[in-house]
Amino acid sequence: MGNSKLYKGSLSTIILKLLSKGNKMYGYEITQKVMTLTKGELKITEGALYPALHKLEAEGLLDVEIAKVDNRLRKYYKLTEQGTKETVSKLAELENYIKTMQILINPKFSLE
Amino acid sequence: MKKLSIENIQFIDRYLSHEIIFTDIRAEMVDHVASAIEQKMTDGDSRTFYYIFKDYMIINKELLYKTNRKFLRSIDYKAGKRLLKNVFSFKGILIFLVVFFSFNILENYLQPQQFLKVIKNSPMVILFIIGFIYLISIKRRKERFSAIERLGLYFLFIHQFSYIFFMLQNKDYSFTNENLLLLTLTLIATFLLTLVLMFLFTAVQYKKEYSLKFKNV
Repeated sequence: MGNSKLYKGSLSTIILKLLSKGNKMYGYEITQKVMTLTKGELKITEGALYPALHKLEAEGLLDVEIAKVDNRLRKYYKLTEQGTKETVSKLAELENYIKTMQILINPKFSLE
Repeated sequence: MKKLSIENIQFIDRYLSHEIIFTDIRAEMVDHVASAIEQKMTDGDSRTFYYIFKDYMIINKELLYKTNRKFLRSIDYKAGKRLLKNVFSFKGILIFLVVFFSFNILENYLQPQQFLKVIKNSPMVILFIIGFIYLISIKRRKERFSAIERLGLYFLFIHQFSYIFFMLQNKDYSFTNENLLLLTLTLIATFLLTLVLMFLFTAVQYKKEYSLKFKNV
């Protein structure tokens, strides 16, 4: 991951979120989607993305489908039922983390 | 979006195959590299495939190979974990009990010295047979899959344990209780045989999974 080590801990959540709309996506597509959504701020490298995808697959959160596309094999990832549940809890965890960080970094603007 | 030709894809595949030997890992890397090159072409890079590929690999080669190494490490861990899980599963325990009671039945029909020979040799004989089947099935496959082959690492461990077990029995034991000695050796041999059989079971499990994943290809 190019930009910051801060993003590293959230990589799994980012992947799960991208796949949460019932989409199936392949590795390169995920890197491009993240780059587009963050306007180039966040670049996920192969070295970070694929181990994370394989880990999520091994944990049973992602399912894999292999298809022949444009003369080559393409590995699509999609959420399993367990993955869908885990996405909800991971997103809630991340939102809590962001709120806490906001309180710490910018106490004046926090709601509490 | 511009698309690469089948020759271009084969070129990438051949190039990566020197370092990334397993089909399941390489297929994903080939797609990644091809997609990146197609994107560059679509974004206006007018050079030929070869030059774009060369530049891409200069920057990303080490990262791709690092990803491969990371994947292999995680596969080693996962394959070992699955093997252990299978050994201690209901099926594994059942096999352990069947082998153990088979040894006990056999003990009634053999002389103690003959029975000791069976106990001593059976793990190595079964290991040899299963190892042979495993090697032949790997060599016959056109495609190489990571988990099936990396599982072989654990086969070597089991082989080493079995060999040590085999060698230890050539020594004189100071056991005064012969029954206790026989029971201990039977338990060790049973465990080794269970490990070998569950190794084969795990390899077949992986083979089925890969066949299912790659069935449409």
